[in-house]
Amino acid sequence: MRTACMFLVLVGCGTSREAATVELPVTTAASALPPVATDLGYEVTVTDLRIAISALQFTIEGEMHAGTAANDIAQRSGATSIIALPHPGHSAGGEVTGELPGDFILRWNGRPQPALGTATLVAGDYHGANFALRAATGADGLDAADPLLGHTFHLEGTVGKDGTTRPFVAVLDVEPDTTVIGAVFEDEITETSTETLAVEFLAADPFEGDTPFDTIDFFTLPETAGRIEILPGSTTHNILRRAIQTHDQYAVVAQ
Amino acid sequence: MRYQAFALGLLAACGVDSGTLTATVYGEEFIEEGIPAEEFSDGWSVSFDKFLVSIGNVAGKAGEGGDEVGDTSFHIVDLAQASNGDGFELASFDAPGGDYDHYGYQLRSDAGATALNAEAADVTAMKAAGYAIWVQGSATNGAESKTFDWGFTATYTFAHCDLGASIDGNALVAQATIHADHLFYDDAVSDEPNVAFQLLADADGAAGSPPDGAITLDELAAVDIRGETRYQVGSNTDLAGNTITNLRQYVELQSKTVGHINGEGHCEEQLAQP
Repeated sequence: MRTACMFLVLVGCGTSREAATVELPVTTAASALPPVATDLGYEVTVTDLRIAISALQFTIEGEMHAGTAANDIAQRSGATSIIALPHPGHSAGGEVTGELPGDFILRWNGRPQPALGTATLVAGDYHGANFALRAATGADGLDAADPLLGHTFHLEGTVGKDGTTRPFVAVLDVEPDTTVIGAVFEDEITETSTETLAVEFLAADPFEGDTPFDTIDFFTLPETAGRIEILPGSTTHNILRRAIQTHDQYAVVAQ
Repeated sequence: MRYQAFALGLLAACGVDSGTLTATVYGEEFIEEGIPAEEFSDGWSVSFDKFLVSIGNVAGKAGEGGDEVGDTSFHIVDLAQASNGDGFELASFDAPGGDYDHYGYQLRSDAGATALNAEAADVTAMKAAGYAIWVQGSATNGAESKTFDWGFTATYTFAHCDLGASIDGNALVAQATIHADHLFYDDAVSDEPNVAFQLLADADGAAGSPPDGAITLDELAAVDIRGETRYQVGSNTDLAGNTITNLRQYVELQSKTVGHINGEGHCEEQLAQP
């Protein structure tokens, strides 16, 4: 994925004209995250989720489930020559034609969140969104004791099974430069668009039904002060972070 | 089959002379001589008995509107054979002048592929199995040794490779460079993955049979990587679009990244199709 030359539409060589753009507010969805059922029979409810990200991008032809996976490119392009394949920035992973630069903390806790900022988008038919994951720092306005500090994900919630419910917390790290590519974002943006773009966390993959909590046997995990903990350095941490960093778990919707 | 497509380009190369574009393929010292232990993070080293690729459909173009030249034929090449650092020539054709910022090639099974330096039996086996890449070799760590024999059946396309060079009456070489060490990268997300073999070695016997020193793809498929700290795959899926959960899927994902251009040059487009 590479950032295209935004806002410029090439017309032949040496000349250009400015494309129509629109500025739209971006926030995180305010609704509470619904409980999800895992493959091991647990019901997991995330009550508070925070993720440290940067550089939210919006792409035309980028959603991973919309037939734009690399496997389909040659067929879609009708290319008889590999030279005729579109550049990646033109189609493969989606041309980046909208962005909200900067560092942010995405949060979902069932309450309205402050706007992240105002994104600038070229008018067009959007199908995907990307963002980079990072470790939260003091510059994010976190207290020194904030459990997200120095990490990428912080989740709190409850997990239940067979009539028993326990609280859990998870703190997750990711590899530097990890990006989420191809989150769902279906919206036709015009120069008169006024919608708010809300980033959603999908606790269950709407296409496959799986959850990032699958294969985790919560009630066998260590507890601290009566709360199940998933922390860096554990196999469970690795399982959860692998699943939660995929594009399946995220979407951007127009509100 | 060589060809030259005359596109209705917006740009015309002015004041430059045509020349020759020669397509080659090279596996570098890592394939011809092996990957030494100092390249690995875990003490292993790897040598290849054979590193067969079915390569072809080479094409080049100078500029977006330039005339395309290429050769659609396929060749089966054993990159483990010594080439004195030159690699192996696939085709050579006349090419118009200009800056060659578009080049591409494919690795895929092709019924019409001809042997360039591969043994006839290997060519027959490659075609019968539908292999685009077929690697056979061994890995050693102290007294421990493992062999591997892995075939990859995807159609790999490496396109929009920038040769970073021009033709103006001269001969230009476009070398498809195959990076074998990518098969052993321990992370598909990190910009600085380690070259590692221990998890692959530990797969021996994972499919239920006793360890026999030979690591098969079935054994790799039996290794669940979801709990691994390394071997992250981000948003990547396997060729069928499934979540990558095992080591075979992971190695197959890595195989998509072996193709480069003129050494360390990158191709913008790296596709793997079933």
